[in-house]
Amino acid sequence: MEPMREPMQSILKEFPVEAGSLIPILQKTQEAFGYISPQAVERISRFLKLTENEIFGVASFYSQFRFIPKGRHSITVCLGTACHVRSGGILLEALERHLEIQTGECTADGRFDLEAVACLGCCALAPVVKIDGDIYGNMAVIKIKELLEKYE
Amino acid sequence: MKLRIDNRAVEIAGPATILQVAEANGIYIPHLCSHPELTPYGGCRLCIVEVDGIRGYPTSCTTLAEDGMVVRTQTKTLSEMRREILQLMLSEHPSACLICDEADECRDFQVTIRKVGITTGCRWCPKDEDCELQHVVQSLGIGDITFPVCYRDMPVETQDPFFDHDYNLCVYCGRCVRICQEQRHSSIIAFRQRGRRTTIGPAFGQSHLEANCEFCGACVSVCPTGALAEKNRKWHGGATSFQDSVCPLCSMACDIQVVRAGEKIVGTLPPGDPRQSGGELCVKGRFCLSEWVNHPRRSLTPRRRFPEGLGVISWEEAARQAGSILERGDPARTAVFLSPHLTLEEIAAASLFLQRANLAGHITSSALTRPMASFLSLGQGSPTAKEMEDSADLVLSVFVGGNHNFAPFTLAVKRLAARGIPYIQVGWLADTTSRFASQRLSPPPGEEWLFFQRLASGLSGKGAGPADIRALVASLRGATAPVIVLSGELLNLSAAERLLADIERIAVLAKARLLALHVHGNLPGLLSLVAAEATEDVTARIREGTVDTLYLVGDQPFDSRPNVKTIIHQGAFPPPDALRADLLLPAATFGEVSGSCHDGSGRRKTFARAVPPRGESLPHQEIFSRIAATMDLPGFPPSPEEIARRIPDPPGVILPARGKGKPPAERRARARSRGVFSLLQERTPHIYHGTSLSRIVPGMAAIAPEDTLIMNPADAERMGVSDGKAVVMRAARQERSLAVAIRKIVPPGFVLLRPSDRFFGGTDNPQAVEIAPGAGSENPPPGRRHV
Repeated sequence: MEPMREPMQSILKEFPVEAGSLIPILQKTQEAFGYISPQAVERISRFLKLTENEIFGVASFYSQFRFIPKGRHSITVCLGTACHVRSGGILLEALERHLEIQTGECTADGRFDLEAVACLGCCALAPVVKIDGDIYGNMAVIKIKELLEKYE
Repeated sequence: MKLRIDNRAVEIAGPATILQVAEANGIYIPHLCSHPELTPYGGCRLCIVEVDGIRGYPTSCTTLAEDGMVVRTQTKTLSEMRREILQLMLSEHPSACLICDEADECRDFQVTIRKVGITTGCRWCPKDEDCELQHVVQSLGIGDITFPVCYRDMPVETQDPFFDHDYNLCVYCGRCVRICQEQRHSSIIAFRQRGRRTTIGPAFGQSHLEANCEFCGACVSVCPTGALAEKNRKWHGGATSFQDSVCPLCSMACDIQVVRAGEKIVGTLPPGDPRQSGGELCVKGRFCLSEWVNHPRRSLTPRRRFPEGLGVISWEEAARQAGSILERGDPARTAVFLSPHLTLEEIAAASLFLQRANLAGHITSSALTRPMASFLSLGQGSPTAKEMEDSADLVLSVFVGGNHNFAPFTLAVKRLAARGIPYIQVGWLADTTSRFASQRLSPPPGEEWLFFQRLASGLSGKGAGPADIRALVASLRGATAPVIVLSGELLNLSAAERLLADIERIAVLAKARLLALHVHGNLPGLLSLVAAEATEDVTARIREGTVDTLYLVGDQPFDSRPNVKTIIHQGAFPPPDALRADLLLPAATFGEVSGSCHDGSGRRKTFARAVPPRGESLPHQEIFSRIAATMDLPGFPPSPEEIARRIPDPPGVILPARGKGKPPAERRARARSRGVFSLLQERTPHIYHGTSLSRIVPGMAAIAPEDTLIMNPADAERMGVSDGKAVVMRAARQERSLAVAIRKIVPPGFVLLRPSDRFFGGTDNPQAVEIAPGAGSENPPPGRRHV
């Protein structure tokens, strides 16, 4: 909690104390920390005089905000039309089982986090999985284990 | 203004929505999200109407009625649209019974017995026959659902005290979220996520307990479905009748209404239309009273102690025994404890009875300590919460923990603060008023008396003091009608008497009114009827061995047997076994007697009984009469007129002599190093007839656990302890192993303990203690899900 005080302070001082500041503050917070932590929400709550529950209600409405830290590597599974048709959903399920997490969560060892997106823009390669910046096309469930071993 | 609704000419005076006008004229428009205590929302879309000149179908709850409007509420299109909307809602709500062919017979004869894992319809819902959704379904005549049914399959949340949340039944009308925000100003719950993943609750999936919920029950009252249901009431079926009453639990004496199912009290609600009631009560008035009355441990038959143990006896024998004990004993060696929660009539009867029995000089009450007497003398002429709200231009609260107490005060403060009136909170604990405070001051623990001494000096123009005191002096001088609010909780501090003396000076210097809040209900009423001794004097005599007979009327001052020969206990609950009472007389309690009481500002409130006393228990007056009959006391029983004549109105409180109070030694109890905390101790702030509600009502045990160390989440995380884990607490002379409860009310660096017995580590409160995790296997931590 302590190391967070300074950067939170510098984010908050840019904004007026009004309900309308909430979403820009949340965006800046996520930019700075990678996610919205309970401590950050508590700090914002004291600043804007809104309850933590109200802030969480607003933040959780938008899919852009995440509440768990990112892993060292981010896995993104495409569920766009082409990938959907070529079993992107099954890939995602297989990854969830393999990593023992749900979509949107991060593994206990902090190695991977898992997300789904609507389209990565390379439909010819469907189904597509992206890990950090790298695109892997023509993916299949049996390739997952080998692929993940490349990332520590 | 004149308008036409469904071809009927209606007239209205002020601005109103179409829905309000229609309801006032007996025209029914189906609705679920609209509620008279809440601002219009337009969420459920069921109240759509057609208005000439307005395109589309406006929702009547958000459209203001205008002069000359022509409104139609019942047309074929509207009815089709409403049915469509309602079917969409029902596609996610268990409603298989609606479309079942055997629905009608099943209602009466339960012909369709199926084994199902989930709620399929209304018969097993706690709100069956008392449900607004059911009502709307019936009024729109829905018998079929054309959409595919999607059961949300969310686990029912039962971990919180007092009410369960089954969001499978929720229709997302938002009433609970809005009443928590608009009326309680607490915002403990919010809509989380969106679309079909929407749930309602506190941030980050916390339980209500972790989120610092007040458990006022407003959300439960306004829920139109069975999604929020009182644990204690959900299996009692619908209410059959309501009876106005007064909550006896604190000096605010709130108006309440008792909910009856037949001859049984099944709940209590704020006054007004029971189906529209909001949240003006605290958790105790809303949830605890019915559990108290119906508790299985109630004392229901007279009993006496035989060599083998307690045995049931008849009322005749019990009265004879009590009479002979009181007659035989030396009046000078008898002590009588009266409960401060008795009604004025009961106290008047008691005082008459004791006078006739020559025992009038030996009355006390466990609540009447010397600091309490000082506190009450300060609180004479207290304004009501309403008066405070109407007149105050500054509120200074001193050690008031308002989360589960004094709801009219906390609500008034929140509304005042929302209007921009400065609210200054002095104290360590955080409650739901804290975020409204324009200033929060935490004096260093152990030096809180110094804070008030400096404030008094500052106000009298002597000594400048530190900056926060100078600022407070300036605000108090600038205010024309300041109110200082005290709570009886401050009497737990070892510097209490000294604090009170300074606060009295401050009030005079600042020309402030004092509002003294305490949990001893009718204590001022008691003191206006009997000249009572301070309880310390009586307990000192008991220790010396100069008391033979103890007569406890509703009161419960001892947990174990003191040094006396005979104990008569007259109350609704049997005293602890360790008291080894010789004679137990079961008395009627809340809801079972008619009478009156004085509230904290000296106004008299009368109430009628709602149900007959349970079992063989009798009202206290009746018990006195029966005992008096065996003693041949003259002039007893008294006529109701004689009792009424004895009750002064307004109350003239007779207080025992005030103590001076020793000046506390200069000391600091501030946590300086790791593992050192300021320990704050308090007697249970939730007490009724001398008994802690935490020991009777399981939900209160979860909210205000006794013998549990309450710690801030940040401290707990730092020390690596979680809820229910054991820690060892050390002070200079003592060591104790305790379970931890994690709550946000306690600030970092503090721990809070409500001991069921004596205070830990001597008399200093607060004091510095050292806390280490682990150890203590002899002290099994109570389960967190103890609800």
